[in-house]
Amino acid sequence: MKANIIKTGILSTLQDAGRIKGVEIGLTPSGVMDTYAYDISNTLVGNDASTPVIEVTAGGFAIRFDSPCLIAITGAKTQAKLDGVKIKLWESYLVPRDALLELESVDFGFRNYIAIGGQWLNTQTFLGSSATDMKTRIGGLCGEKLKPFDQIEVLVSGPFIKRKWAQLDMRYHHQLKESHKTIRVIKGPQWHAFDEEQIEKFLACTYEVQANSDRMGIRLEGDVIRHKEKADIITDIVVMGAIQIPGNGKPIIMMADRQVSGGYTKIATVIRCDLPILAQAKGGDTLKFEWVEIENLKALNNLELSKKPSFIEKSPSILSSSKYKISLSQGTVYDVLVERLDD
Amino acid sequence: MKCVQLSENVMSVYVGDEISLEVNQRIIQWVKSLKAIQHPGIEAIQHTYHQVGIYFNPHKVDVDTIISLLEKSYERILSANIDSAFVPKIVEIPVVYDGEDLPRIAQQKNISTDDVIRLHSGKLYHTYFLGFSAGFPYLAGVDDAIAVPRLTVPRLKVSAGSVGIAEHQTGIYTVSSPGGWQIIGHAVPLLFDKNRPHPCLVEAGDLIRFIPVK
Repeated sequence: MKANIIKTGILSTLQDAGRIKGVEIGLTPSGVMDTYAYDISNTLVGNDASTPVIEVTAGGFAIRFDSPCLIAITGAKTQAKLDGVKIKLWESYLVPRDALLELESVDFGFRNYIAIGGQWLNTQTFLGSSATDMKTRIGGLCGEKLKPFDQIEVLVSGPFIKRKWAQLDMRYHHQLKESHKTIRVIKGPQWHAFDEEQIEKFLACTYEVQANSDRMGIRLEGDVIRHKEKADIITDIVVMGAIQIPGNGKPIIMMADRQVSGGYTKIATVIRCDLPILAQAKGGDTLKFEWVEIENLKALNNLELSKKPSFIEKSPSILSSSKYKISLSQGTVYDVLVERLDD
Repeated sequence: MKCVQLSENVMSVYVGDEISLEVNQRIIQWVKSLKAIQHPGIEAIQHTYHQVGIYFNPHKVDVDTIISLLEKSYERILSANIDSAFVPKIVEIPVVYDGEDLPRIAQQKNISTDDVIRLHSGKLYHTYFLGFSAGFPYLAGVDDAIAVPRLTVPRLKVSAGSVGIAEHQTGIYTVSSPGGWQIIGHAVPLLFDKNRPHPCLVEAGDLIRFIPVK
């Protein structure tokens, strides 16, 4: 199956779970911003957890599939249409030959994930990952963002089982809809570089996400945080979710395309299960930090977003009213007429 | 040794609070021994000047196991002598000293550009770690006479290969990126090339010698 990119919006890239091993050589791990939506999208199409997906930023994306395949869209609440017919997120669809998938504007949230069932054939891998790293020009298609006329090749294999995610994690679902988000943090490695008053200010302030935020960092505007002494430290490790306070006192939350070491003080770190919520924040959204004691971190390890298999499986549904040839996994071939019934 | 948990899946240890050759050599040795354990729950081991970070899968190994593993191996590393049989690899890097900041550094420091080149290329630099971008070597020990601060306004684009100075650190940009180090020249070989069997030209612990070329 070949999928042809028609429209890419402001930024669309191929991503996967990222190349964490890269940190050993100073390489940014890249990978999806919203790991929750990513994992579910691949589950819905029956893929392994590490299969690439298309990460679409702020909608405006279109792709045409040249032969039938199973797809699923997750993430931001967006208008998705298959051959002009509205389809739902968080469930898989069997798309017919030459079908056009469009993601229009985003209602809330910021990033969508499009999973395609099967083995991805033409992505470039480095250190075992296909994640696109535009700075180092590795992964994805030639290490670049997707552009019109790009082609993705997937070896599609049945059975095509339609799955629907029955229940989204409550917290994720709720925060996705809100333009004001509460983000939980633990103490950063340099929290002692700030006095109590500054830390209280950091926790009390409602910060606004800046429009120049990107996959590297989410930049915040709000109360300026002052260091006890200086903003610079001996360069150390920067993990995903680390909140840097540079000399100008404006927090930057380091995300998937971050540099893995840096010389700015880090006041706090976003806990892992709140990173997908943060990944859906866009310019103009506001957020507030909530301190979680490091002593409770162990308990939090068991508090990841609920991803327990909660899908409902259905037989394939086909959208438009026309004649199809459907091959079932047993190899039997039937000629059938598929009619779409209005809801 | 101070354990600092950076996130649910990253435990780190700081050794001391300064840039020290001796501390860093021990850290490099320690990271090698940690990697040799090949624990299935450990996904990556990163280090900087004075910090080691272990990225682990919390579903496969718990924090306490990681801490005890770090503590035990740290004691062994502390009690061991720095491996005297270990001879670091010397990497010679030809550099064209034509950097945009070279004339200004010479002027500021009241020396000739030839002096800057002589002082920069006149010593062997220990590679403390790779960071910032793929294969970027952090080298310290730049001579006082040519140590200059970062630019107050970082450049939006520094080309791959640029050799820069920031205080007593020197390094080579491996991909084109924004950057604030003062640029004195350009390295001839690529520091990172994804198509080579060993994509990084240098690794932590290597000694680097800059060779001036025209």
